[in-house]
Amino acid sequence: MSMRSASPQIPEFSNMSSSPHANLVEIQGLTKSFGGFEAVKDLNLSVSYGQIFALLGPNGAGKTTTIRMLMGILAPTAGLARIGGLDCFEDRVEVKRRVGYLPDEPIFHDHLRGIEIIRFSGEMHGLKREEIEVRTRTLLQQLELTDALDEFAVNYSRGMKKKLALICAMLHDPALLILDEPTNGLDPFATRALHEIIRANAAAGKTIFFSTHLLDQAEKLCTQIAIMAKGQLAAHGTLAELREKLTSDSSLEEIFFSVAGDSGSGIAP
Amino acid sequence: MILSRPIGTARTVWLIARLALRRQLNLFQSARFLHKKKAPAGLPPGDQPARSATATKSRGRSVFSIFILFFMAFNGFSIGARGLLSLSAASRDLTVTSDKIPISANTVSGLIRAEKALQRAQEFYDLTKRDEYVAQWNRYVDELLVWEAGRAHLSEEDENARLQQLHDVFEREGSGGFTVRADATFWVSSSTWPREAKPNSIFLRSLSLIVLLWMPFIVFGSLGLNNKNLGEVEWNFEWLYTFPASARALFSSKLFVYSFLNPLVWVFFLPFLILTFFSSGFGYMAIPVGLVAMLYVSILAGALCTILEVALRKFLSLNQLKNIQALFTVLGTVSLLLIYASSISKPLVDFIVARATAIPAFLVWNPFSVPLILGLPSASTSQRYLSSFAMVCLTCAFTSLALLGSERLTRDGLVKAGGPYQGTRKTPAGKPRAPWLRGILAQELLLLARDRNLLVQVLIVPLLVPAFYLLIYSGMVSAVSGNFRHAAMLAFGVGAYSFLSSAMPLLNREDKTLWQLLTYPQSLATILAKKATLWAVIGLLYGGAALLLIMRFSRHLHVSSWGEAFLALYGIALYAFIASGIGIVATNVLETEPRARIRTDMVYLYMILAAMYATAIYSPSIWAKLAQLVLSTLLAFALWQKVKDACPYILDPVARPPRSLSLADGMIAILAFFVLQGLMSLFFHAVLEDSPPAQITLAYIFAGLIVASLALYTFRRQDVPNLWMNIGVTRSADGRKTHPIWRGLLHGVGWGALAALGAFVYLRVLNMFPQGQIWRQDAELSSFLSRADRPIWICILAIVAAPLFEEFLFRGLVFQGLRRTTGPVLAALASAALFALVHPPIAVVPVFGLGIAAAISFQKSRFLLAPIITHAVYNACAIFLNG
Repeated sequence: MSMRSASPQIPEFSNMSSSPHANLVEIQGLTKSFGGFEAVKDLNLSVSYGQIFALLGPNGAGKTTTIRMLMGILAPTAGLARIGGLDCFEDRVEVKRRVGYLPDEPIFHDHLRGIEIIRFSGEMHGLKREEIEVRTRTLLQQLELTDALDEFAVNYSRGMKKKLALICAMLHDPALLILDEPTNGLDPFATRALHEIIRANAAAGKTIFFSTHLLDQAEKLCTQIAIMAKGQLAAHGTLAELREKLTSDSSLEEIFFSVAGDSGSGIAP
Repeated sequence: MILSRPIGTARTVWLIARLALRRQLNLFQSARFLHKKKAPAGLPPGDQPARSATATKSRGRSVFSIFILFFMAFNGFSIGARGLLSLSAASRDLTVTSDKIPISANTVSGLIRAEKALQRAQEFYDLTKRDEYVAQWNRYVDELLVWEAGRAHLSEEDENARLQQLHDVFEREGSGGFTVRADATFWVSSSTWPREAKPNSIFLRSLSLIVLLWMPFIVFGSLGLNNKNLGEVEWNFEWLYTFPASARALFSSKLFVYSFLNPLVWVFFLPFLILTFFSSGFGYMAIPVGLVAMLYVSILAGALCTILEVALRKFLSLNQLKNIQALFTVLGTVSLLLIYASSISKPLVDFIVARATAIPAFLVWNPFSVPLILGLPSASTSQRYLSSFAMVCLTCAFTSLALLGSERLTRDGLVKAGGPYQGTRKTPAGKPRAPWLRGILAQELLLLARDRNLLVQVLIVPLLVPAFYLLIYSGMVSAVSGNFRHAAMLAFGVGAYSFLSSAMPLLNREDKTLWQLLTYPQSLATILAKKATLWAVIGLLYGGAALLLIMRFSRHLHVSSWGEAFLALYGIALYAFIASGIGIVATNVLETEPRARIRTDMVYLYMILAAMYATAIYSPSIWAKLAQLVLSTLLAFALWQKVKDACPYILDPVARPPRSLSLADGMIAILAFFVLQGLMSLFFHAVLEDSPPAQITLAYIFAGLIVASLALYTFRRQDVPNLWMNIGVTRSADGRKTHPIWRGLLHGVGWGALAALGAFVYLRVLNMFPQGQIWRQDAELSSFLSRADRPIWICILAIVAAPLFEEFLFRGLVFQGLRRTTGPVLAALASAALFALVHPPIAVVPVFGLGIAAAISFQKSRFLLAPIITHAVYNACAIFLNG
């Protein structure tokens, strides 16, 4: 364990052009099984720099499990997950310096105000107080949370909690944002603001990896799509590539149903 | 359109009560003592899914629950009986008009016999024989009175005063100056309730005070201790409100649940009431009458709880509610402690009885103690009818007031305000904190300041409990100020106790917010260690304050007191880490049921460990203290090594840390080695009767072989990576170039010779002091070497077997286990300390040196043979020099 800390070949991938790795996120043969149940089966994915990547899939497809393995919260049963050449589990501390994470359902301490949680997050990322203030101010204005900051976070509505967690995730200006169902519970205004933030980040050279089950959201935003079903990769590529594979000019919805199976009826394709 | 059918009030109450009962039972059953390990990865499909977090019901657990329930009920009966007996005794003592001294029946009969014998002695003619006879009986009286004075558990001074008083009275008035104390029996009988007019009335009034003491416990306990719900945003009741039942029906069900489903009332209050009625001669009828009385009091308390909860929710904001809940928890706990104390603390019982005599008799007719009048042995039929009638009326009045009041309070809606702004802060967040207060430390302190519940549990309860014991056992005050060892033990106890609620649930408290800590670029183990450090500091403040306070008043301070003070403070700091380490290892963060998240057996383990440390503080032997110090430190190390290993996998329900060599393995192996050595020498003692050296040597070799092969077999089965290289059997796993073997052997010889030289010088120096000589002779007399008559066995043991097995254990397992997470210096020191600890006191210093030398030669050569040679050379020199 102790050997890991200072190996010299760890790449700094904030400078993306000189990075030796072509892809920021590399997933090879990733498998996670819970007892007899395989949540993720032999997943192969790669996301290159500057992409907006959407991981699509019906409920229970293994999206959150994949994301949790990327965050080093779960250990892969088999296979590799790397971010910027660093192993997501072994080098998780280094990985987190470069990654911002928004969970599906963020839960905060009962007795802390929003602003205190933000400050804490910034401090844990080693930011100075002034840096935290500056970063927070711009993010707050975009997400319209300023009024509620003096409030205990436990009293926030679901959407507000999500906004707060998003601010915490973006505080250290990470090269990769991992968002688990980011617009789940957000109102239309906040959804629009989030989409703008995602686009602005991508324009600034950041990479966004998000999971969703909202097809129109994926269609509007992303440059790359992967569709998961029952723990396996069903399709992967740009929207155009996916369209090419199937009948031309089909909507994402049709693509989704054709590759993920009609999960509404529960019958496998 | 289908309409749901309306349900009646009774049906609503029944359905909700059944739900509440089910919940209580589930809670009770999920408090397991043995944690079932999560199903391992790679389970064949078809087995039960590993993701289920709900406890499965099992027959074994139910039987165990029933056993616990019986045990608690038995406790309830015994506490109730003690309380009643001491109350009865006190109310009798108070009314005894004579100035006779109450003592135990045994002493009184002894004194009467002695008195008769002494009178008979006056008739003796032979003077010498008479003196002898009188002296004999006087000695008997002395012993009797000393025993009697000692029974009261007073401090030394008070005990002497009491003894003097007993002697004086016996001189003056003989056995007539004493009377039999009433508490000589220890079970309630039908004569416990005093029948004489005055004690009878005082007893009744005292009982009514006790019942009044129960009320705050039931009410505040239900609202504070048992009701996590009070301060939550989502109120269960809101959910119930969505069903098509009238508000009255819902409030009735709430009242019902509060009244009848409080387990503490059933387990403790019911036995007390049954015993009360039994003591007034009800016989077996005491059970139904006691039940009726309990139900009556419970309904009254339930009505109060209902209206209080509704009113609090109506008028207070959520944050205020949380603080109120914390306050209720304190009040409930204090009244429970008082109830408990009132059954065992004589001063408190006297105080209650004295208060009871001061209150007017008609106050017994207050709503809460009315049922006691039923039990009054002298009660007339009309009085009984009147009190029954009053009970019926008061039940109706309380319930209807609670229901109507609740309905009225909620006529504009259930809660004060809805939506996300329920707990709006009037004050903005404070200015940024001091610059040094950052990160984990700042957050933990902020939470402590904000969360009054936590504050109470962590900072106030640890003070309440020692204060409570000081209150009950008045002798403890003088004991603590009289002997500094007691004081150091108390200070350590306060600190260690506070960790039960602060450091131990450290991970458990993170609860669902753990995800946040996992997004930061710091390892979870580091974050947890920071938190443990904070609690260590707070515990030290407590322990240090206690020590300072005692030192201020202490009469007996020696130089050695500083050692004990150090030991206490070091212990507090250390036990913060042991408590948090045990807590983290015992917490299953994936468990959703709060009571099943932390293993209860581990809490007891911690208490046993802390008690062992406290015993070492108390022990006069410096070796016992040193041993405990070293062992506890290593234990803390071993625990945190496990924590560090486990942390990355903490939120993963199936994956577990890969197996690797750790300090804990070494410590377990050493323990097994010594236990087995004892068993083996018993066996060889039976087989080879005549040769002790052979017995010892063979026992040693067999124990070593068994432990070594078991350890290696276990490691192999668990697939410890690079096992052979780690313990130094092979030298490199990847075929890297290492030093030649002869250099390793040279290291072994050289360091062994150096250690032997050190030991030789040490013994020479020891010889120059008279104290040292005596010490050495003592040691040699008891030493195995000087008794030996067969040198061949000694040589086998000292030059072959001991180096082989001890080096495998102490260098191969302990040193290398430590090396995995710490530097070579610390690992060498710790393994040498443990190594020295298992040797006799005389050898501790030289063997510590040997341990360091062996560790150096192992570290230099990375080959286990080197320290084995070091050890063998050292032992050979020792035998040679001893002749």
